Order: sequence, then C-alpha cells, then structure tokens
Amino acid sequence: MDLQKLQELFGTEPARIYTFTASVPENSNPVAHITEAFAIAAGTNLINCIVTEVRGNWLVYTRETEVTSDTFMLVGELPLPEPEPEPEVPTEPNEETPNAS
Amino acid sequence: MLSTITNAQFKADIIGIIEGTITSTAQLSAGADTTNSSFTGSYPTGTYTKVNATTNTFSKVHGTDAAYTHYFRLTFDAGVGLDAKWTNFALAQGYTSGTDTLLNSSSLTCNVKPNTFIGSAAFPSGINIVLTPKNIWFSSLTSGATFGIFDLGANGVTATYADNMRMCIMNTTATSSNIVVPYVYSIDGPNSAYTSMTATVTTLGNPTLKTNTAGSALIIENPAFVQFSQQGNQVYGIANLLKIGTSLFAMDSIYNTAGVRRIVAPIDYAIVTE
Repeated sequence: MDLQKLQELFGTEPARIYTFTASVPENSNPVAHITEAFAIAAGTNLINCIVTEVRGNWLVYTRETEVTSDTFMLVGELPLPEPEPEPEVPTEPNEETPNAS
Repeated sequence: MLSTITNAQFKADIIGIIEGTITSTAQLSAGADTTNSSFTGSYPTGTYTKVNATTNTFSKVHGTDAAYTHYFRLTFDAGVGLDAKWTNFALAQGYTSGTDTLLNSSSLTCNVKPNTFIGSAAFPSGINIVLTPKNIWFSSLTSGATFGIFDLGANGVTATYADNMRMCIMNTTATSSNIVVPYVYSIDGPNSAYTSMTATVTTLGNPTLKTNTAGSALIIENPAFVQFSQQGNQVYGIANLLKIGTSLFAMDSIYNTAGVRRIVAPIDYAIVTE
C-alpha cells in the first residue's frame, strides 16, 4: 500500500492505519464485521475508527487505538515524515576562470 | 450545579436532558442548582433516542431528511463530585446494537466538568445544552468547551454516495480544523474511498452591525458552510450555525431574532436554539 496515497486520503492528523487480513463472512456487513473484530482486538467497544475499502483492501483508520493482532496488520502511521531536503553540493571553483583583479 | 453534586447526578442530568426525560428544573437531580437553572422551548420529540444506557449512546434522526440517522456517544470518567468529567464526545455513521459498537466514528475530547453557579451579571455560567431537531450543542464556560453535532445539507456527493454522512461534529471554540465528518467520500480516481475529513467552517462574509430607519440595531447573521477539497470542493450548509459580527457578544450570550433564541459561541457564531 502506498502510504503517501493513504495520507492523501486520510489526511495528516496523527493516526494509524491497519489492514484487515482475515476474510469477511458472506452476507455480513463488512464495516460492522471488521469494526467488531477491531473492538475485540482492542479489548473495548469504546473505540472510534473508520473502516473503508481502498483498491480491494479493507483498511481501519484510527486516531486513538493501537492493537496487536494477527487479524490487523499495521500499514503505517500518519503523518509521514517530511522528506529531508537534499544537501547542497558545494560548487568547485573553475580553474579556467580568471580571477578578477 | 451544587458543590454536592455526584458523578452519577452529573451524568444523569445531561443524559436525561438529551433523551427528554428531564424537561423542567423539577426533574433535575438533587445535585443540580435548580434555582439557577432554566428550560425554554419544547423538547424535540422523535429526534434523539438513547440506544445504550451503559455507554450513553444515542441515535439522531436528520432534521430534514429522515432517511439519515447517525449516532453519538458520551463518555464520562469516574471523577468524584465536582471532579467528575465528561471526557469524550463521538459521532458515528452507524451503530451495531448487539455489540454496542459505533461504526465509522470520530470523537473530540471535551473534558466538561460540573461547576457551581457563578452569578456574575455579565457572565452567569453553568452548562448550556441546546437541543433541536437539527443540532445538539453544549457549552461550559468554566471548562472552556463548546461543541456539538450539526446537520449538513445535501449535495451531489450525498446523492451519489448515500453512506456519505449528513452530520458533522464541530468544536465551536477552535478557529481552525473545527469540523469533522467521520465518514465522507473522497473522490480521487482509482483511490476514491470513504474516509473521515476535517475542515474549517467557512462563511460568505463577515457580518457588520447595521441600523434600520428606526435606529434599531440589526444583528446580521450569515449562514455557515463547510467544503471539502477532497470532494472537488463540494459545499455543505451547516444547519443552525450562523456567523455574526466580530466580538458582538460574549460567549453564552443569548439574543432573539424574530422571537427565536440564539446562543453565542466563542468565535462569533450563533447557535439557533429552537
């Protein structure tokens, strides 16, 4: 998953993104099923998260909750670090250039 | 509130007012300061329903489009007496009753505590609760918190993507990033998907105080909007939130326009209360 694309989707507020690695049972609401699984993994139903499908992957976006579970794999944390500016390359003095006098 | 108020009383009063079991000062708890409390208007029957008493979860029907029902939850801590605290306020697109789970939700930290009445003529303070079919709003001067849920208008996105929420949670104290819609559709080609979005409320212009031929002052009220660049700048009207002139009134001031009360939020917005 391209984290940069996910940051464009979810924004730059501090948050975690997990992918749901299990399958959703037929005839069940994927959002409800995955949210309930996430609540079980978190150990509480007092959670706030978004469940959304991006390019065929079910993702959980949460600003508050951290889980450790085989069913939810951490895709990454937002915001992404700012890219470091490239160091300036010192210019070599041109020996052919005559000195001003 | 009185200094004797308990955590349970604090919680019961707020929940009772929202669900409509408390509609007069006589029905408030023994820890409430009934002498300095008041109710105006009538309860918006049929809009708010408590769906779970343990987690203080409610459903709310959209004020103009009954096809949309969203959910909100109030979380309290276990603080004792005046240290009781309402810590968190969450808005959700859906809800599963069997597991008492909010679906697609976002929350804000509110940290509202009970306070004894401060009887200053200029700033009488307590907790204000506005309940209408289109919004629910709270303010606490002593806790430095004002926030609520407001209905949003329809637009092309809501017509195309019916799960796109039609309510927002708003921090009416913050001046930026003060609106969150937990579940809205981001339109970005193959990366399109539902997500939560945060934005700053926008207004057409900054109203100024005007007088008519009789010399009466007119309080100009402009509608408020929120727009999301991720939706190609789709704009939603925010129900019952009006922009007024800069520093016209202090927070929690109440004024009337054609007999309808408004209460003033800290950043020059007025909340319609009826």
